[in-house]
Amino acid sequence: MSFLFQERFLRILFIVSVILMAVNLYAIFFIAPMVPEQHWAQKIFYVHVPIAWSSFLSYFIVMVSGILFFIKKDSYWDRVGLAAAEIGTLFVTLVLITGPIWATPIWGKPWIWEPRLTTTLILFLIYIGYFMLRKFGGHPERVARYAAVLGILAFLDVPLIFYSVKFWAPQYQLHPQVEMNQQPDEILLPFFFSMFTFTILYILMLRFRVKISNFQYKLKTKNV
Amino acid sequence: MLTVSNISKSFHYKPVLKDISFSLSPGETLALLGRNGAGKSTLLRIIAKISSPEEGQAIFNGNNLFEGVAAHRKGLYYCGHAPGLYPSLTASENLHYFSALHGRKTNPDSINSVLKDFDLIDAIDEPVKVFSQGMMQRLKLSFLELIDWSLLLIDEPFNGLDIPGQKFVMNKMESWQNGRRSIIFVDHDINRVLKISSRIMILDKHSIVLDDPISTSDLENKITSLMN
Amino acid sequence: MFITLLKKELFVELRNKEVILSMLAFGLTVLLIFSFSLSGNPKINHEIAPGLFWSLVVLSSSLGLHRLFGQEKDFDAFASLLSAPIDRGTLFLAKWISGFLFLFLIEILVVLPFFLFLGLSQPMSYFPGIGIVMLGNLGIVAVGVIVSGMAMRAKMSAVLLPVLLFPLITPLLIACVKATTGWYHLIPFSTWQFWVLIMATYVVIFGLAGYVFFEHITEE
Repeated sequence: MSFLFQERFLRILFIVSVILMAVNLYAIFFIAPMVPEQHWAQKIFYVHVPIAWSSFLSYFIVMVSGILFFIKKDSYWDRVGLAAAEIGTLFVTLVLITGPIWATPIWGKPWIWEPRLTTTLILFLIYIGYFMLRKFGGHPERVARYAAVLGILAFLDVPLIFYSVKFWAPQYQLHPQVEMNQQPDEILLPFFFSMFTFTILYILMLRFRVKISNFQYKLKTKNV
Repeated sequence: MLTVSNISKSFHYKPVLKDISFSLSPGETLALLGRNGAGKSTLLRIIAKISSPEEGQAIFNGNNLFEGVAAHRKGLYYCGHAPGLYPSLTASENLHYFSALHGRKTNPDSINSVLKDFDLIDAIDEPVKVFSQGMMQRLKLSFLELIDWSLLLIDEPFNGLDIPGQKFVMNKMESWQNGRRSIIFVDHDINRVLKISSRIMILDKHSIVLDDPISTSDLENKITSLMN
Repeated sequence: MFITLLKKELFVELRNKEVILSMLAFGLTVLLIFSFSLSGNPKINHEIAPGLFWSLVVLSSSLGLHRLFGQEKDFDAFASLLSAPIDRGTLFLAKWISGFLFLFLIEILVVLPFFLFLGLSQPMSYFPGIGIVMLGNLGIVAVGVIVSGMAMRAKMSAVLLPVLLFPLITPLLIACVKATTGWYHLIPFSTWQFWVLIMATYVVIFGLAGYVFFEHITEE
């Protein structure tokens, strides 16, 4: 554990994340107002959306890492891509859990093929394939190339997935939209703070994971 | 003709080749020796652009082989362990298609003549999947009579061949040594290698441990001690 | 060189028929399953026919795509292809177009049983439908060749291929079903032209991606 905190930047980032998250949780539970009719269920909004944003950010980083892997020909970018894929998939799983938890009291049903949630589901399935490819694709040096290609293709697919799902069956996909520009400051400010907090948390998790990955790589290649 | 610089390759994080560098001049026949797992086949497959190295470069006739430009591989022919042929196609069909892929149009007469030369004419209409190992080896080598090549990479050309088959391949390899063409071949038989090659290279522990012309004194003993 | 490669692909397949037979056999089996697992009401079948057709195509294609590199893998002809002075992007194009032709052939063979078994009425016009099917095929096979190239050397390749392929082609599947529904149910084109645009965009993006990335997928 102490290995993870050897770097000064990581130590500071960890402390900042803990403080921010504590303030964030306080803000969500005690500062953000209770929305009539939705009550406590609406509070998931402050977690669900930032996690979703972080997961898409993560998959974007998988794509960028893939491109950099081919340009720089450095296995470091493969390790960054893998770390981002892992964290992205973890966050996506949380989105798919918190989404239905929020939806059940609000929409009356846990799942109604809402476009963003459906896009998240499809991305989750793509990344199941990604991890299977990592495990069964062969030796790591080859799999790094495959994973980079898949990461790029997956993110190129995102706008196509979103727009095709959005217009697929709108009569069955009606749900109350959260119109951000109509929300009062008491909701917007905690929301953006939560977005910021989760982004910092994501960066911390990514840095930790890459650091572990780098050390594992050095051990495997006996460069310690 | 061929300059290989700092080629490194790992499988499952274990290095197979480390910083391999050498040059090959036109007309040289380089025999690549080494224990199993020394990286000989891997090195040939990297130069042939079938496998990609983690680091390193290979320049063939002034062109970077790893740039991904197909024309840079013109003149290079790879012959691996496996047949490298389409099992459901006949000998003549395989010759026709692979020659075309190397930029050479063939006609039935040229193919028949080559198959006769390589004693495959009786099996001309048989699918390759029914061929014996010796027949497949002869078919692989018969391409070299049809296409223009200047560098041959051949992995264990004598593997699984009977004595007449080995003699046939040795004679063919000697006939191809015309001063302009180069050959890199993998073998395990030291006596045979001393007969047909002009230079010997031994790979061991991911590196080149010997790289000497055939005229080097006491070469046989050097090779024997390194191989044991 | 593309024509030579394409001729070789078609000739090899004509000789051993692995891709076509596996897709055809599986396609007919899936059709049988559809026929028995649905109510048998031709009205309901008429409503859902486009979805059933594309489900059948996607399922059959996964089996065929798995064998697309079969002949190259068995005797390592792939090594001979890779070391030859052929552009890898051209190799992708040849696999793409040959895979498209094989899939189209299967659809031609399966479409009559499809209409018969499900009690469907004939479409009013064929050409728009054929165009939609060809565009859909191009999209499925473009991604299929990329994924098949990766799965070729992998363990559990028969499982890995559909697991990778199906989520990636979801937007294409939705668009194909929507466009086919619009054509088959005689809905004005302006209503479903958006889906044709999605299909075309998909084909362009993944066709280009395959051409560019095939170099990196094929090497050991």
